[in-house]
Amino acid sequence: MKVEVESRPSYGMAVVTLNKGETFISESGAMVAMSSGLSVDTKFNGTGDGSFMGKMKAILVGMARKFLAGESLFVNHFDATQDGQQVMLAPSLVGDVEKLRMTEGRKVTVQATSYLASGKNIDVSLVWGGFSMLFGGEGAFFLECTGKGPLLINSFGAIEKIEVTGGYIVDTGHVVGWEGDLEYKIRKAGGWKSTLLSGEGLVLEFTGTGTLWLQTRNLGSFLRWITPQLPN
Amino acid sequence: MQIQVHHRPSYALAEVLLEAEETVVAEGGAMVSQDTHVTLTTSASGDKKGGMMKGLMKGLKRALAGESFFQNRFTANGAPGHVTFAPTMQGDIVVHEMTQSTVMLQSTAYLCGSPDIVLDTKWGGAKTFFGGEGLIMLKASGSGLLAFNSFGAIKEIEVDGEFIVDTGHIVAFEDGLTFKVTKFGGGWKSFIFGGEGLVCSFSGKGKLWIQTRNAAGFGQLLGSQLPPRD
Repeated sequence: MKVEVESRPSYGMAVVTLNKGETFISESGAMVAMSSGLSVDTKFNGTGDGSFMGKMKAILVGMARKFLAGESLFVNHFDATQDGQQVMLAPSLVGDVEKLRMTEGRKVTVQATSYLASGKNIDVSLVWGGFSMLFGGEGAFFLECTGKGPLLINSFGAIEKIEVTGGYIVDTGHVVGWEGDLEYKIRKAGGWKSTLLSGEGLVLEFTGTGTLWLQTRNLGSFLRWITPQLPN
Repeated sequence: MQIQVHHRPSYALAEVLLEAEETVVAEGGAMVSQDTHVTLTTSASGDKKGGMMKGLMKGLKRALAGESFFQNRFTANGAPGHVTFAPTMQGDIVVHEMTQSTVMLQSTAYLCGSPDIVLDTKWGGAKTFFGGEGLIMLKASGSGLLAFNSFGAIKEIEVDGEFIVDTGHIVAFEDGLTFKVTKFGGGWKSFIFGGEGLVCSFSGKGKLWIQTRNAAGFGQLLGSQLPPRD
């Protein structure tokens, strides 16, 4: 399996090359183009072990991700029936795609809208981000990714990688994801006066050591900027 | 004529360098800047051959395809000249050199080209309509330089055999390729729930250009998050 990202950072697209028997999973709607030697299956967006309970869990996780996290209910599985088959994947938004190499024991948590695709051994589950995230306007759920293999995340704007040692603060609308070793709490950017007047709102304060990925544009701010510019 | 493309892939600009008395044809509204000795003539047909009715028909067909009714001809008078063109959307531009060949373009992809390239419209078949990408494609044939544009970056693919592309990601393809519109994944489940809808299955041998973003997908995502409008 080979995963390469092209046309970064404005219009990132992943080109995944699969050999016979390999599988790649993407969020629905992400497929740009593909070789004819791939078979496609559409499944509920959640990991199930094939048993009845596993399937029920997949349905529930899929539903939660759709209605609570704004993600699609379904994912597409691309299975290579021959060697050298390619699938090209891109998000709907303008922006970047970053490839992460997941290893056993590594955990990466991403904003629900930042997941693009992954190898079949990556397990994706939904985690509650806390009540305060509801007020940040960025969605109250995160996706926790574990397992082994490639994981593709996407952003609005370019992706900036930060190595956190100690503490670091990021605006909630600019967070893409972070490694599991980092702890976070949600708080106001400053005092109440700053919360109301500075335009910064809520921030995530990280502590610990690990990698953090942030995006150079904020979708919520962009929407607020463009709305008054649109004709009625 | 030479065409250089700057600022790829996000905000591409095509710079056309004309010899004295040479002409470039461009999509209406695409001109960004030009030398003062470059003069503009506008017609519905794009070329000077044919009568007024023929020109009007060509303009109408182009308008149906989602391109502008009129095409502009920029001619360098008395000395070499320069004109720059840009598409409306953020994205990429590719220049393709044609020698007695034909390229099919997605309806909004044409930017500019040599006057010896004839643009015509071609019925894409009823199924492309359901693909949501416009009923009519543009057919560019002849010799010279052809510049086309995209939403997102353009990737060139050499197809030999079979290759599948989401209908919203097609920019252009050589006429050695034929396509049929099929359901994504081949079955009803993936077609309905897979989020891709219809895809184009290309076969044959030739160049295919795809774009890394889909205008309809981007519009749906932004539109769903914008406040309701009156």
